[in-house]
Amino acid sequence: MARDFDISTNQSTFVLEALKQNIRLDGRKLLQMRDLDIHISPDEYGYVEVSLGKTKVACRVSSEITKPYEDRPFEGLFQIKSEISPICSPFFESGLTSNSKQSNDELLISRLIEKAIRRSGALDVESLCIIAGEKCWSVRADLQFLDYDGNFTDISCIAVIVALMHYRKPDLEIDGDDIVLFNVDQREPTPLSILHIPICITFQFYNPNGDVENVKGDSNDELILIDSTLLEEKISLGSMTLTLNKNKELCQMIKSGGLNIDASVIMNCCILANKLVDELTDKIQTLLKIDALSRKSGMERELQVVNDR
Amino acid sequence: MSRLELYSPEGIRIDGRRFNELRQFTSQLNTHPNVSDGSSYVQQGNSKVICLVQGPMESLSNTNAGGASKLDHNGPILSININYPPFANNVRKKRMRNDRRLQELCVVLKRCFLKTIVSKNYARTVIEVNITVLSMDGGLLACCCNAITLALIDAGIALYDYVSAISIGLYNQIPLLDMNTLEENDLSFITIGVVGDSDKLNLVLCEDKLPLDNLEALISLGIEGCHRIKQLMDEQVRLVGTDLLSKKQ
Amino acid sequence: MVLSPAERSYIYDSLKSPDVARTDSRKYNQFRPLKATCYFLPNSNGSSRIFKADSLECITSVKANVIKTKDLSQLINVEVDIQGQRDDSPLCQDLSTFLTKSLIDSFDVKTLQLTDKFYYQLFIDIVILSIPADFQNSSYTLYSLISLTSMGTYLALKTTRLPLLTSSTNDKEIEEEPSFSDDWESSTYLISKESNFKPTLLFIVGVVGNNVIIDPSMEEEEVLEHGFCIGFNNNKIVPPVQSVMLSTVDGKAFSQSTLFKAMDMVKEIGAPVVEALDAIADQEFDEFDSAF
Repeated sequence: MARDFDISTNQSTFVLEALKQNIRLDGRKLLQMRDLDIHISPDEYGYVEVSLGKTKVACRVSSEITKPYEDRPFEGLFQIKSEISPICSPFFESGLTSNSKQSNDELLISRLIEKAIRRSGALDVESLCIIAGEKCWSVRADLQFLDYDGNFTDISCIAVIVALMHYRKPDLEIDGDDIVLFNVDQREPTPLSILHIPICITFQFYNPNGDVENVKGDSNDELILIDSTLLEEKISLGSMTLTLNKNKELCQMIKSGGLNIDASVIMNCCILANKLVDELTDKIQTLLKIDALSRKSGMERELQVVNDR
Repeated sequence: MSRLELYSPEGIRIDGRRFNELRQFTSQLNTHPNVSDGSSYVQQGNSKVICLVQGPMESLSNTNAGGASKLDHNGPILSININYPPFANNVRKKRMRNDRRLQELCVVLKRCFLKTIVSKNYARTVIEVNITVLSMDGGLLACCCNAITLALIDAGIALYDYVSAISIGLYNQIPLLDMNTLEENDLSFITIGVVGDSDKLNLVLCEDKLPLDNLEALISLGIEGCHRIKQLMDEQVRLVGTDLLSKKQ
Repeated sequence: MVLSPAERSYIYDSLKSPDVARTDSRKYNQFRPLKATCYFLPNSNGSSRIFKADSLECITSVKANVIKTKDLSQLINVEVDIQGQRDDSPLCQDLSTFLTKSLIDSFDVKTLQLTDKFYYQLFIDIVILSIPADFQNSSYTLYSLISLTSMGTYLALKTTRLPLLTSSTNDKEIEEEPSFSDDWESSTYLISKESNFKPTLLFIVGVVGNNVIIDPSMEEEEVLEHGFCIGFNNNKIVPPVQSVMLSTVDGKAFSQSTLFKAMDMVKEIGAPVVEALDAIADQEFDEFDSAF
């Protein structure tokens, strides 16, 4: 049975009071992210583990050849699967009834990643087509949540997109009606065609003066913070998730209920998110470049073995 | 797909509106007095939605909200269901009961209204909202949101303020208010929900790619549209209210 | 609904008495007030909304689709969706099959034929908005819904308009898809005003002793001894004529005379009902209320 994460009144007022004074429990500023750590598996393609403070997710990308959907003969298949299991936190339970709070969260997270990456066209599905209407690649990203300390959405989005960018699918050649698939050792595998890099940023809102003031009052002194921890997430009064890419395009945006936020505040959040996204994108790209350099091509590797002998 | 001229150089949209014009908005309250505690019917252009509210009551009357039998000590349990019959769209399409998009909308609406209802008045109660989409011509979320606001008012549930919602699309730098299906299919759009007469947003949902620089224009046009809808809803509520009062005397 | 023995015997005795005293002071052949409107779904070819005083409401939509087929049984599809019930619940499914059968049996296929090869395929979708809670658990809900949904279907079919066929109807030799006029003004009715064909209506009749009553209310259903479901089409009784169990208790056999009595009553009230429904269907784009 999943237990509810209960916070004592003392604890929540303590955190809120600290936030009012611009202090977070882990010493960050309100608009500062935790350290992003991306671990790319050194000996295979398409497996990454991303952690943001204590929150940790793993993502594996795999592919196989299938038949495309009949109504979309020129497009490959791409799906993202995610499941929150008790592995990351005892507050989650697998296989819950459809109306519980957790399955709502899970639904929102998976829809959000889906919209951020799939619907925004980050992966060029047309490039996955091999023979129109006959054969295509089916790419699948499996997300596993390993440890939960708030902010699942942002981190899972990063994990999926990094894994996709890192993944290499085996090279192939079309010979009449036959497809010849080459082993990784035979031919250098090809990367997926990624059109842009969407990054999610989630804002949490707090009102120092309480709920009612927010609806009735005119002041806009809500506290805003990003990359919340579990504790901060639980006492938050509302959240908003933006997905942006480096081209200053909004891929997705959702603010479901919660505190009512003035439009100008939202615009400020957008500008801030844009800056963060730029930083994160650069970080991801340099990381992948370093990784690519450290990886030697299949041929080189074989030669290396010969040399070693 | 044929290229339609969605916005003519003269500034006329496909259904003859200008960029900042709403479609015809009509609403009715208390349409199903026998079945429900509060009911409403909202029509925006060719989109028609019925909303029935049961509650606040002690426990769920029927089984479809199953797992949430535990009552909340701080506020109401709100369950929202969208019923999307196969005939609502122009092309008949059967939808699964657990359609993920609809479920997402339900969750979004639920969170939106949990903050709008004066929740401390309804601790340990259940409020059940059932929406039936009769016909859909764009603005699903906006229509549902407006219908729920009216139905909750009709049910006598205390709200802090109206939540009025509208969709706004973007066509080559030009924001278009209250999109219909044809426009929704080709353009990216956002749906926003505004609280009362303020500039505060309760609900923002954007599912397609949109240049960030245009967002501000979209939101400000949307807020204007929402205020107009709020005004129209308010007129209707007051009309029904005065009517009720006159009958009482 | 659970009645006390005293209530039960009171209702039973008054229904059984020679002058049939019903709980809501209706005559034995009188319906509860119904209201209906049509033409309100812009995305459907035909639509109707019909609702009863006890809050049952039924919305029916007819959509047509052009298909090429030889199998005439797939031309009519009825789907019933009851709010709060799963799609595959026995209630929905039984109701769907019941209505589909009664329609197919009597349907004039010629009205659906476009050309030699192409037909209209009709999708009739029925949504029942909210069933009262004490109603829901009764297994006899099915039969009480039948007459309402069949009237809804009747109205929706009557108001179904289809675009005008512009291509020639003979395509025995030529492979050609039928084409239609864009102009909604020139659309034709699926069932033209002149045609004699009318969709079948189903009536539910309850039996108590030697008395028959139409449209039994919930309280009345509790004490009924038997029930019939009777089809009515063009002033004639048509199949299905079926005995249905309307109540849980006292399921007694019925005599031949009561069956004839029930059929006579349906014959008698069928015509005015059809007339009233037709009147509603004729009111175009009008919020027309009728009680019959």
